Amino acid sequence: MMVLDREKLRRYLHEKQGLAPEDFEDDTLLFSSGLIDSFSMVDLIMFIEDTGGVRVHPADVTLDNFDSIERILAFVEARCA
Amino acid sequence: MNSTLVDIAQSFGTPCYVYFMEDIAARCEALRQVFAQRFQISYAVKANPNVGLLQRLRAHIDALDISSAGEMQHALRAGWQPQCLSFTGPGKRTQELVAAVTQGIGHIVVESVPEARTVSQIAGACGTQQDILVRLAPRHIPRGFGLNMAGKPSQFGIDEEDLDGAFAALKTLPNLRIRGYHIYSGTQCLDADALVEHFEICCELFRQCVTRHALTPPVLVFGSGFGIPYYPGQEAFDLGHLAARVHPVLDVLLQDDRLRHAVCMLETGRYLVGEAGIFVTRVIRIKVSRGTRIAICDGGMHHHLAACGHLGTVVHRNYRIFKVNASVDADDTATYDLVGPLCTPIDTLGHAVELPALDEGDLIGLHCSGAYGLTASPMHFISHPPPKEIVVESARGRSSVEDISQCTAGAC
Repeated sequence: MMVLDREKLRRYLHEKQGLAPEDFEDDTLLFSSGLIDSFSMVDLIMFIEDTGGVRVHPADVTLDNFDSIERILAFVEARCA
Repeated sequence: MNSTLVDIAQSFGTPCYVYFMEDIAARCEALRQVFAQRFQISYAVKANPNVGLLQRLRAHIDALDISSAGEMQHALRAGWQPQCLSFTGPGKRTQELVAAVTQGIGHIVVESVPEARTVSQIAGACGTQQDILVRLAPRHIPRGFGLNMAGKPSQFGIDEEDLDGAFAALKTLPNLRIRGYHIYSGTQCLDADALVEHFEICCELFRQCVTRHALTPPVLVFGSGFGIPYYPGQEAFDLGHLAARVHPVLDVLLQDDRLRHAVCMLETGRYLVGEAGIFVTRVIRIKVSRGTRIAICDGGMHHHLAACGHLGTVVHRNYRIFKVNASVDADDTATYDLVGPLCTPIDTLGHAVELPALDEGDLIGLHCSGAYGLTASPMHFISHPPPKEIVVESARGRSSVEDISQCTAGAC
């Protein structure tokens, strides 16, 4: 079963998006703060789909669902429920 | 400003784009002042190609960058001399290049060696020498440099890694004069550190090209990447502080004997006109559906794709939106979805926008609509008439308003 947890997400953001671990917490606003741009967002969504085993519909792509680690995890959890 | 917008809506109808020329002029002057005239200013026509604006810009800036034969026609109609134009774009077609060369365009910004070969042949056929700038694609671009176009596979420019071979080939082509270099690798950046680092990268790459390829260029074009604060919560970068950090970088570049007399150009688009434009739309109907207040407006994504979140953004964010002529003590606010008149749910100007209470007939304004607005939108979709474009100017203390619309239902 695919699992997207906090660790995997933090590792992805560090390794693939180049974010320094000390620069982001669970509630850091990733997109609206400019840490992640549009292109990176596309890659992030692909990672969430692949690792979390969820399908992200275009209408799901909102700041409420994707703008922080805690929001992403909540979104995936709700989807898997 | 509110009463001006109300008068314009009354006289010209809605939806409409309103451009404040004083703001554009002030921005141009600020750039000139803060960089102490060390940069010539070139405006990227793609940001807003309106001929009325291009005409008025002649008094404030030095050059235009065009990206098509169509934009070249706009520039010439606006009274610009062809020598003041540069032509960029990764897919310049032969007929466009022929048109540009025969017009006597200032610089063609070559984005590849094959393109340069075509320009060389055309110039030969026309019996002329064509000045070109070589567009360079840097390997590295600072993190946070807005919509990041560099370091990745790209249709733009010649990759830094391939420049040796490219210059060797370019130098053999007849009828071309390599007059300089051009870098444009990011846009919409609000991070001063990233902007400064980008200047440093440009300068270093320009210097390397001069050294390695023994080409002393008269012209160095810096794509500024200067961004504007579209969304609530964003801050404009401090232009004065930025300039103070850029001056020493330029000092180092220009102390090189070979570059002492280089003309540095700053190429910018939305930074000149973006904040000077407001999109005005009228509320046609208000509907409450399943607990959500929906204000249906006469303007939508067919007029302003960017505000609806479909022009290169993945996540929609509301522009800065206001109710025109809202009373000062507007404690009475409510949350609205602002939508356009199209038969698609993606025609949404704003999600959950906090505004003073709205009625049918009220006017709504969207800031930062001076760039990538009308002409970057699918205006023909669903066959509504295009919005008008109105310019507001001040002369001798009086405000004047002119309809500079150039889009009609048939063509633009």
